[in-house]
Amino acid sequence: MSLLLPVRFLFAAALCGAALLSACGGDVSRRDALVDLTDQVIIPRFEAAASWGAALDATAAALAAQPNAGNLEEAREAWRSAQGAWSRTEAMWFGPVMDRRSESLISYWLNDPKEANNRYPQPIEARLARSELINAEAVIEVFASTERGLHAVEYLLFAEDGRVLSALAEPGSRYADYLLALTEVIAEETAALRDAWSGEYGDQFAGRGERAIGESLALTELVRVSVFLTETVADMQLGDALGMRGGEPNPLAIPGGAAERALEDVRERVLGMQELYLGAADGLGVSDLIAALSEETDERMRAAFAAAVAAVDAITPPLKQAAVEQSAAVVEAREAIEHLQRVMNTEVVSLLGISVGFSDNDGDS
Amino acid sequence: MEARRAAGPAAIAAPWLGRVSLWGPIDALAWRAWEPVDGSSAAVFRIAFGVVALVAVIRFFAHGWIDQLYVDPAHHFSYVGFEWVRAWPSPWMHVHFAGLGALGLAIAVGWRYRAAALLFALGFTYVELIDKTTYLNHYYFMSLAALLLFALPTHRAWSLDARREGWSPTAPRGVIWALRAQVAVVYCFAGLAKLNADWLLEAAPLRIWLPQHADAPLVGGLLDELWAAYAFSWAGAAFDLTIVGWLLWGRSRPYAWAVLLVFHLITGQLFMIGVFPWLMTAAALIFFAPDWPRRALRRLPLRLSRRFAQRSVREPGDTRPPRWMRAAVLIGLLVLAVQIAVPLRHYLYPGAVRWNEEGYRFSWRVLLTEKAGTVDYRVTDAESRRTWEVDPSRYLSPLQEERMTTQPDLILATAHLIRDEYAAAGVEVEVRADAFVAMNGRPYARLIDPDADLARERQGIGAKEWMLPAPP
Repeated sequence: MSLLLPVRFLFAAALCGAALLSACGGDVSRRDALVDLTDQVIIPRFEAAASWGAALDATAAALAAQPNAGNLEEAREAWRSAQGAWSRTEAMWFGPVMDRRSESLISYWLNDPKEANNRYPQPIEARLARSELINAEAVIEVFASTERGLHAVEYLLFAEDGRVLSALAEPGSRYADYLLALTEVIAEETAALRDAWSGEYGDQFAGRGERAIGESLALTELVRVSVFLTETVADMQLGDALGMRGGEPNPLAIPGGAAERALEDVRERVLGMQELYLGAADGLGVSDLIAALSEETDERMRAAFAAAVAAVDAITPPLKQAAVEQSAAVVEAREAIEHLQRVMNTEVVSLLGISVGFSDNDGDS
Repeated sequence: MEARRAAGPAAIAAPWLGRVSLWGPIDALAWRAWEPVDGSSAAVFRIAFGVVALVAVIRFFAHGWIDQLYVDPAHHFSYVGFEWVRAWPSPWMHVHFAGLGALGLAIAVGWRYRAAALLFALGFTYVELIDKTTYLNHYYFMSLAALLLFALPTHRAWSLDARREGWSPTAPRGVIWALRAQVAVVYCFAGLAKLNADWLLEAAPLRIWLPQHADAPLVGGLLDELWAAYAFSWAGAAFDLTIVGWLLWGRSRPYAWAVLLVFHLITGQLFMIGVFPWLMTAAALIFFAPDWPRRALRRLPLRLSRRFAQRSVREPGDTRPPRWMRAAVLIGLLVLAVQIAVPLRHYLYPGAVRWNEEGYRFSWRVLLTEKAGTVDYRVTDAESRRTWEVDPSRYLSPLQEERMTTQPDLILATAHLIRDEYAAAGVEVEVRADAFVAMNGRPYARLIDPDADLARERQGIGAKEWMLPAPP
C-alpha cells in the first residue's frame, strides 16, 4: 500500500473537520481584545500625549514671547499634564516608541550612581553654559538623552521663578532657545507616535491589513512591557531609592525634579497598565482573555491593581523624601507593585501561553 | 534457512550456546537477533538521523545559538558530576559545531560511519552537558540514538563504507529491534507522563497553549475552544501510549504512521520544538518491514532508484550468531532496563515531579507543563546582618534566567554564584530566595522555603528538603 494514501486521507479529513469546527469560535477572541485595546485605549492615550505635547509647546512659546508669572504658571501646568499623559503611556512603550527611540527624546532618566556627573541636572546646566546653537535639530541630532525631554523642560520651567523669568527676558535668550527647542521636539515626537498608532502601526497591532502582527506576538508585547514596567518601578526606582538592592538609599533613582510629580507619575504608570489589562469601559481587554481561562487569576489581577494604586495613594508626597526616610508606605507600595508583577509574570504569562523572556530557541520540556 | 529457524539455536549446538536453561532465553534472543534482514530500513534510519543532525547544527548557526547559549553566558549550569565540562572559547565552539555538522553528513552518507557516529555522540553529548538550561528531550534522544548507531551496523546498505567494502546490504534483525526499542521508549514514557489529573481532567497545559494559535488560518477558531484542548489532551495521551503498538501491528502500520505524521506536523506547527517532529517522524519508519525502502524504490520510475532497489538481500552462508552476541544481547537488555528506570527515578523523591522537577530531565516529559516564575534573592551579610536584594540577571543570560526561575536546582546554583562572588570579595553571606511559580494555570505559590539559607545547601541528586510542596 502506498504510504501517501492514508496520509492524504487523514490530512484532508483533519482539515475539513477543523475548518467546520473552527466556525464555532469562542466568545472572547484575542484579536477582538487587541482591536479594542488599540482603538479604545492605546490610540486615545497617544492622542492625549500628543495633545499635551502640543499644548506644552504652545505655552512655552507664549512664555518665551512674554515672560511673566501668569504665562509661567500656564506653561508649568501644561508640563504637568504632558508629563502625566506621557507617564500614562509607559505601559504602551512598544512598536513605534521603540522603533523611534522616543524615550530618549522625551523622558530619558539616568539611574546609575556611577554616572554622577552625567545625572540630572548637571548636563542641562552644562548645555546652557555652552555657546553652540540650540534648535530642535540640534536637540535631536547632537544633544545627549540627559539634556533633552520632559525632565529637561521641567528643570527649565521649575527653577526659581525669578531665575526663569529673567533668563527668558534676556535679549537673544539661550534659555528660551533651549526651552522652545525641547518642547518643539516633544510636540513633534508625541505627534509622530500618535500618527503611527492611528495609522499603519495601529492597524498592524490590531490585526488589520496585510502586515498584521500575530496575536501572540502582540499580546506578548503588551504583557512584556507591563512586566518590565513593574520591575522598573519596584526595583530600579523604589528599590534603589530605598537602598534595598545594595548600596545607600538613592533618591535620584526616582525620575523627576523640582516639579515633584514623581509620585503622580508612579500612579499614572500603574493606571496605564491597569487600562491595558481591563480595557476601556465598553471594550475588551486582557482581563477578558484571562477571565475566560481563570476567573481566580482575573480577580487577583484586579485586586493587585487596586492594592497597588491604594498603596501609592497612601504615600505622602514628595516621593523622594518619603523614600529617603524609609517610609513604611513606600515599602508597602513597592511590595504591592511586586505582587502585581508576580501575578503578571507567572499567572497571566502562563495563562496566555506567552513568554516574556527574550529567547527564541526550541523547547520541548 | 527456514529449517534452521524452526529448530532454533539448539539445532546449531554451538559449544558456547550450551544447553543450560538459564541462558536459553538469552540465546534464543541472540539467535533471532542475529538473523539477517534487509538493511535498507536501518540505512534509512541512519541517513535520516544524519540529515536531521546536520539540519540541527545548521539551525544553531542560523539562529546564533552557539554564541547565545554557550559562548556569551558568563556562567553555565553544570550537571552534578560534570562540573569539569566547559564550553570552548570562541571561535572553537563554532568549530566544534561545524565538526558536528560534518559528522552528521558523514553518518548520513555512511563514510567512516562508526567513527563518525561515536564522535558525533561524544561531541553532541559534550555540548548538552555544558549547560542544563539547554536541555531538550530531542537532544537527549539524539545523543542516545548516535550512541546506538555507533553500536549498530546500519551502514551495511546504502553507504560509502558498504560501497568500498562490498558488503552484503543486510543487517542483523537485532539492529531493527534496538532502533525500534529506542523510539518506543520515547513514546511510551511521553504517554505515561500524560497520565496525570492536570492533563486529563483539566486539559492543562493545552488549554493554555492552544488559544495562543487562535490566529492560525483555517483552524484558529478551533484552538480557542476548551473542548478542543480536552480533545487534544486525550488524543495526545492515547497517541503516545498506543502508537508503538499500532506501528508494530502490520495491518495498522501504514495508518499509524500516517497519524504519526499528522500528529508531528500539527505539534511542529503549534510549538517551537525544532527538528523534533522530523526526527521522530523519520525514526518511526523503522517500524515498517526492514525492506520497505527497497520496495518503495522499485515503484519509482527513476533509473537511480532502480539501481538501489536491485541490490536485494543475499542469503548469508552462515547465520550462526558469533560468540559475542550473547554479551551484546545482555548489554542491549541492560541499556533498555536503564532507559526504563531513568524516567521512573522521580518516584524516589517526595512530592510532585512536575513541581519539584526532581527526576524531570531525561524522562521524556515532552511539552507537559506550563510554568512561569520569578525569583528574587535576598543576601544577608553574616557578620553585620544587613540584608539587600540581588538581581539574578547580573549573573545569567536571559534564557538562563527564564529557565532558572522554575527549576530548583538552577535556583540553588544561582544562589551559589552569588555566594561565591561575595566570598571572593571576602564577605560571607547567606542567600535566600523568594521564588514564586505558577503551574498549569494555578495561582502562583512559593517554590522554595524563604528561610532556607541556600548558600549552605549542597547541589546533588538527593531530595531537596528546602523545597515547598506543590499547591493543590
